[in-house]
Amino acid sequence: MSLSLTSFLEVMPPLLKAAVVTVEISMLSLAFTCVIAPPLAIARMIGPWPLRFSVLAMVEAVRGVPPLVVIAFVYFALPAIGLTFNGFWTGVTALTVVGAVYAVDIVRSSIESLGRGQKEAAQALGFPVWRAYLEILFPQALKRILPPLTNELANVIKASALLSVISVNEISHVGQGLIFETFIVVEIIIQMAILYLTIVGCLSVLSKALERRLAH
Amino acid sequence: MHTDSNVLLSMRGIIKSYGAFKALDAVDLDLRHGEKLVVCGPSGSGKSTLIRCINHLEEPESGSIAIEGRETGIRGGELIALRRRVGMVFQQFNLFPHLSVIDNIIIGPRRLKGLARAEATNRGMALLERVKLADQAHKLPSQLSGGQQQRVAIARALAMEPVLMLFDEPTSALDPEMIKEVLDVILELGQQGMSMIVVTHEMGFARRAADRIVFMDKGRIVAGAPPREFFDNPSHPRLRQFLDNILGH
Amino acid sequence: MWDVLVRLIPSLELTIKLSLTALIMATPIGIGLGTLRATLRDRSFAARILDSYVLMVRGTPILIQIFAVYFLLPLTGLKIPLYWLGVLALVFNSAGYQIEIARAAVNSVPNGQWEAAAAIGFNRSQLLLTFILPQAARRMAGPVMNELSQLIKASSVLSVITLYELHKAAEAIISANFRFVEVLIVEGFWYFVFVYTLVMIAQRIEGLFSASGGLAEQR
Repeated sequence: MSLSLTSFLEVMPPLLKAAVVTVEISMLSLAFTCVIAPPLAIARMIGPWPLRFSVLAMVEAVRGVPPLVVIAFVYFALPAIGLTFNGFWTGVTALTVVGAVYAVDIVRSSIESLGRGQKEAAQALGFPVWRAYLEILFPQALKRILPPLTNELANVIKASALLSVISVNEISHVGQGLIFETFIVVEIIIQMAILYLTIVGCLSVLSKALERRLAH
Repeated sequence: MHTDSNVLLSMRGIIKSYGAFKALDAVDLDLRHGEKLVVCGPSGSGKSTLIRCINHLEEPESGSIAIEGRETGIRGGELIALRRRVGMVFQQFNLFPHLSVIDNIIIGPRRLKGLARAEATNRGMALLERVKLADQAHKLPSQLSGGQQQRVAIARALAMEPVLMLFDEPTSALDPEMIKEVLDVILELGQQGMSMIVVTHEMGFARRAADRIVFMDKGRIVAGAPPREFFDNPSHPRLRQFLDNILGH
Repeated sequence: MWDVLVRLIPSLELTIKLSLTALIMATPIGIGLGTLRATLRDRSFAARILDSYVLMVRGTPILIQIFAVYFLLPLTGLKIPLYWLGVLALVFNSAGYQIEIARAAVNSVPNGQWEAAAAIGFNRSQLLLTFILPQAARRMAGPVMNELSQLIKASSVLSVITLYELHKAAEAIISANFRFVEVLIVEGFWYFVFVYTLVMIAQRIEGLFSASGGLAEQR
């Protein structure tokens, strides 16, 4: 196996373009996750019984199957009820589902780790339960949520690689295609690895910075 | 049901079980405006459970509770309104750790009563003066001693301008040296006319501060009397035994 | 639906074989290297190498790791059957996570234990084997069980290199009869049964031994 710089540079442009797609999908998924996870978490914690159970069932179901199955489900099965997405948006949807499900659990366990007393103190002052959660408990939990949530986002970025099976032009799909086209195996694999490591790495750095600001 | 306008709180037939264990066994209790009641008794006698039923942090299975003549149900809006008029101080203080002392005090009035920041802060600082902690206003709870935290907790409860204050073993989690500073605040509060129920083991405090002391055992109120009679002439053998144990050593 | 359920059983077997084999190979590696890592100074050369390995495994998708094994290993001239390529990729991945599990477990054994055993006169390796590892092992049992459940999920990605494990088999059935929803639900059911059971067992085990909460990590 010999490495050639020319090959390395030859495959860089398409892979970099693909990296942009990877980042786009990941960021969109994260954004949607941030939107749907808090209400789901609240429903899971203080909603009426049927709602709580439904959320719990959904969370456990999604966590119990490989992400590939979730992707396949969104891409192939949802059209049966009229929801058809193209590859890119299937990716965003599937990754949002996977991410949100973990996020709900992360939020729930960090709020529970705050202890009963905080909730009771807020209630004793006259905060309705949902406001107690939103205005007193969430802010405290935020600091504790960041590390596991970062880990979860890293997982979403890694899971985006699976979108290659539905031909989304993210890093893995483009890389695999290039391997079959050009036979430049080693350089491509190395570059793909570096790209992912960089994206995940940047995320890590951002998260640590955010953690520091929250600890002011 | 008492319609005597002097009665602030009226509890009738309160029953609360945890599985097979009866924490409260048909308890009746009245409190008049401006009255200071101390509730004492052995562990597990139901004293904490009783006052936690008043603001519905515990839900009695049966019985009725009325404040100022109006029966309190558990329907959302009513419950919230009730809790804003009844203040509670916890054994574990339960201050909000991410907020400064003054923010702990004003968060209720600002978010729940819509008070403007300036107004709320003024009132908050006045309360801090009352509990002698005005200079700690911008510290975080973690920077204060237990006694100081509990005094802040009292100020926080007072900020909502309650008609009734409930104290759930306010000094049980404190170092012995800090008990006095907290009890002094509660005593003064009572002298200024606040209606209150204090669950405590501090008998010296009870003797000085209470209008009436009530003794609970196994989920029932077994004896109740003004301090002098309570201590000098205990009416129930169980009470006599309790007083011997607690005062004798 | 029942027919699909039954038709998927042979591939389910393959999934389990793949995952178990990978676990059996990766766990000793993880324990060995993880314990080693726990005893190394953070800035030492060996520590940095191990840390880089773990970082690479945790920072890249498992698909890339599978590509690496699938495309690169044959380049060395070795003719390795597809099944073992799959297993090796899973081992490569799992070992990385298990190094972390073992390291954290060993580190969680209180310092006093090391000191007491050393004071009695045991040398490093005796100390490790006789005192530290048994205690660390208790903290590893739950996460390792959880790791198995992660492997079962990860094995689905081997479908990309045409190993006929559960996901690939389900795909094949779908391409024949187009019963998307039905087949996916059954496939999901099979995965769920095994993954959920293992996760529950893992939580139980961790509950028995937890001092400061779980070490198990989701992929």
